Amino acid sequence: MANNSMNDLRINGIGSSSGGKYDFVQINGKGDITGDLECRELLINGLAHLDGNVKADTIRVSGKSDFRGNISGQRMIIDGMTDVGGTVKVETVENRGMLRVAKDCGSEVFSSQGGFNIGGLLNAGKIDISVYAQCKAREIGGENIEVRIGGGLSIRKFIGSLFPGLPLNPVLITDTIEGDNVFLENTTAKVVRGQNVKIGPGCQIGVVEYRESYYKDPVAGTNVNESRKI
Amino acid sequence: MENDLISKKELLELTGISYGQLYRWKRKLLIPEEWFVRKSTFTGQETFFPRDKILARIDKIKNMKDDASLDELADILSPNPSDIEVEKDKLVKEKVVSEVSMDIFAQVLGIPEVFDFQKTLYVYLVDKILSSGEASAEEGKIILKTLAESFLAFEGKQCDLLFVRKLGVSFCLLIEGQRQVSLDPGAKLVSRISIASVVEELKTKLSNGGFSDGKQ
Repeated sequence: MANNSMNDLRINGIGSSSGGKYDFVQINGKGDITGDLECRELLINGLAHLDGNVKADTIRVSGKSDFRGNISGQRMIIDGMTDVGGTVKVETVENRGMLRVAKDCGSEVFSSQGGFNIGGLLNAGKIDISVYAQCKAREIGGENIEVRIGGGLSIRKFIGSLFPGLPLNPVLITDTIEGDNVFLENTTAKVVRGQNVKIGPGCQIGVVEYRESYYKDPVAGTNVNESRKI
Repeated sequence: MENDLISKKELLELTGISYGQLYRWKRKLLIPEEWFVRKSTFTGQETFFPRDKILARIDKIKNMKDDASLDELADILSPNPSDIEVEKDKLVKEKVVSEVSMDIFAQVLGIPEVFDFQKTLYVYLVDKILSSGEASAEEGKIILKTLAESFLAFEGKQCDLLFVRKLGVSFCLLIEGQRQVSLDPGAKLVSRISIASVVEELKTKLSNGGFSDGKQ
């Protein structure tokens, strides 16, 4: 999409636009985009509302953004708070803030060092989650799924002091996790299914179904009600 | 309906694929979203699939994935038209469609020099219904007109072509895929064709037949 004839859109201060096709779109301050947007790069510093669907090679949010439609693209980096009303279909998602998606989220690589809430299915080839704040998804599916507790207790205490009300020991909550290689920490799930399943500390799992290998950390506080080889 | 569904677990056991593969194919749109049927069971929500369709599809993906990349496969399997362009003579020569159907097409919509995918699909559908002996040439025209007028409105959705006859009068309908239709007892549903599966069939045929991509 690297087309020289394409214009840039910059909103500095308060402004709005009806969307369209651009090369580079930057919002510094507060911006509203009321229609569909297609661009090479979308950079949001500040506050943005986007009513339409967004298609962009790179999306970067440092601040707060509200997408009402669907997002598609190559790369999305979130260093702030992002709400998506539709679906996310982005090759690489890097979340270092809070991501909320109302429907499904599909990508090749999904990495999160923050919190998220996905109303539908989180589907990715490689899922790498460090749980810093509460993470929620209805379902998780993919090839390699790794969930770890984020940082040490001191970091979590620090984050907790910034955002009062955040739990000190956040967990990932989901109904089902299905993947080839699954490693879990601090996860609450009803069902976990996979080829190789490893359950670490801080997990509350209803049922584990595995095909090849299964390991459960004997540490206190991890509960697996039932496990079976299929 | 119950018997026509297969649970995800059973599917993986039967086909020998892994969860990762299934999710990857879903992501690449090789398996349509509509086939993922969520139902509640005693272990909570589970996913089911229409048995025959999903088994056929997975078989197809497994057979084809060595020759084509997943993206190419997605293109072949998706219900959306591809950007293939074919010359009119070639369609007849390679026996994709018969000469009769080509004539009908010429009478109704005129004859373009190159057929884009859409037009190829129309002729192919008419050809299919004619060669099955279910419709006459006159009726083929009705079908063609219906397609030309309304097919685009279904863009991106699954859609079925219904051909109905009552007391010698025939007409055709386009409806959103897999919806149930009831007819009055005097009417006879002559045929019901899922356009998505025909698109798939045609794309496979065209890509095997060495038809060049319009983009070249």
